Amino acid sequence: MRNAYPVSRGPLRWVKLLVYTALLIAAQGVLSRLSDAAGIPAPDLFLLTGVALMWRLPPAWALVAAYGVGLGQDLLGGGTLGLHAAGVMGGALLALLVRRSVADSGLFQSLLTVLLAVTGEWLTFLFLNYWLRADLITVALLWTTVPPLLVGTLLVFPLWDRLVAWTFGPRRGPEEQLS
Amino acid sequence: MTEVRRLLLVSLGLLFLSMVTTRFQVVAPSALRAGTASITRASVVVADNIRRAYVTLLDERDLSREVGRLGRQNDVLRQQNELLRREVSRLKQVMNITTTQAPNALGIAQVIAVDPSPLLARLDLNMGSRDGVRLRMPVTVPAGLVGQITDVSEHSSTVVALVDPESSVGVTLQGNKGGRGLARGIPPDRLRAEFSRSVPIKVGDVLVTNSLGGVFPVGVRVGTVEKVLPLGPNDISRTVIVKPSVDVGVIEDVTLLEGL
Repeated sequence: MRNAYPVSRGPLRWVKLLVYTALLIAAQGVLSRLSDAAGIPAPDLFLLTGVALMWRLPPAWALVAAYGVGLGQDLLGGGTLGLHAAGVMGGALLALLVRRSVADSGLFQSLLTVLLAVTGEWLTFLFLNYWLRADLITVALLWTTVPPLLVGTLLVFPLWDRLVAWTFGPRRGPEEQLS
Repeated sequence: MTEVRRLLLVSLGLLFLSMVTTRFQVVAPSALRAGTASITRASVVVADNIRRAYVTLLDERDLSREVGRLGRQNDVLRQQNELLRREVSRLKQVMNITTTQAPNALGIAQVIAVDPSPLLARLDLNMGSRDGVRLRMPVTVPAGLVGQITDVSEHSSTVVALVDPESSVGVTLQGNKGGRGLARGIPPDRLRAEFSRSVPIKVGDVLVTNSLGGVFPVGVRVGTVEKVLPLGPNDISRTVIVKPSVDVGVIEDVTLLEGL
């Protein structure tokens, strides 16, 4: 029987994972630095990684993996642990739930996936903001940050998706999802 | 348990974990970031270099535009400078002529055409009757006499230069040395002047206009004696070849003097 979640196996898998992690940290660093200078939010490559895992792992494990990716982002950022972890997990969850009932095809799929992931992430941020009774997220911040973040993430998605495919293998096709 | 319920359960569990860690402000020890410090440092350097390269590119583009703009402005200013320089030169010429030759200068005219014939020496000027130019007006430059106006239209006029075969001008020796002669043009670039035998003229003497004919102001330089032709037994006058003071082939601006 064909494996429904074609994540590559063997020692090469860990090498690729290590290379991917280094590239993720480096690329996110470069983009963040450049975006800060330009005054716009950087594309969220950690979120795209969480989404990529969603396609390649069983759903429950995908959520855990996405949470782990977000936790890595918290670690690198030096902020409070759990904030981005929950955000990436929220993005992956929303994309996972909605995409179960939406056709899987080309550009529309990319747009929808990134849109859902960004929406899920920021909904989770909003929930945690409410939970903490903090003023981290304001309406002005949402207006000025989320649209450019969404556009930037959409723009880098096609390129980043190739790196993800090289690292984690091809994602599941529609026929595997039906099984 | 359905797939969706399992997903929600897992996500709620993870969300609860985040709620706890964010509530208690759990921060990871910085030592954990040390492993990736070199990567983040390199990425910052790369990003800064990219940004600087972009900024430099924009600056270069702006500088290139600025250089182009300044170059065009420089061209305009050079042109204006050239015009002003010419104007100053003309005014100096007028001042020079009014103080050394005649006080009644009409103005400065530009040579706009020359007669192509090697046997004639005629110039067309860009001033005509509309500008006050009249027949027989003397035309000079600071170096000396050029000729006189022989034809006038509304916008231009024609000068017959001293070396033209139809030109004749009364001359005398410079410095009140006496003598009164008549110089005629001999193409392409000399004059032939005749003096009475008694005039002690020699090579190198300078000839200036005299009052004969009442056309030219007295004392305007005409030329220098280049050669004294030998006297024949029956000659009643002494003939000399004169090199004119003004080379009509190179003059650009001339001054028109009111007639006497």
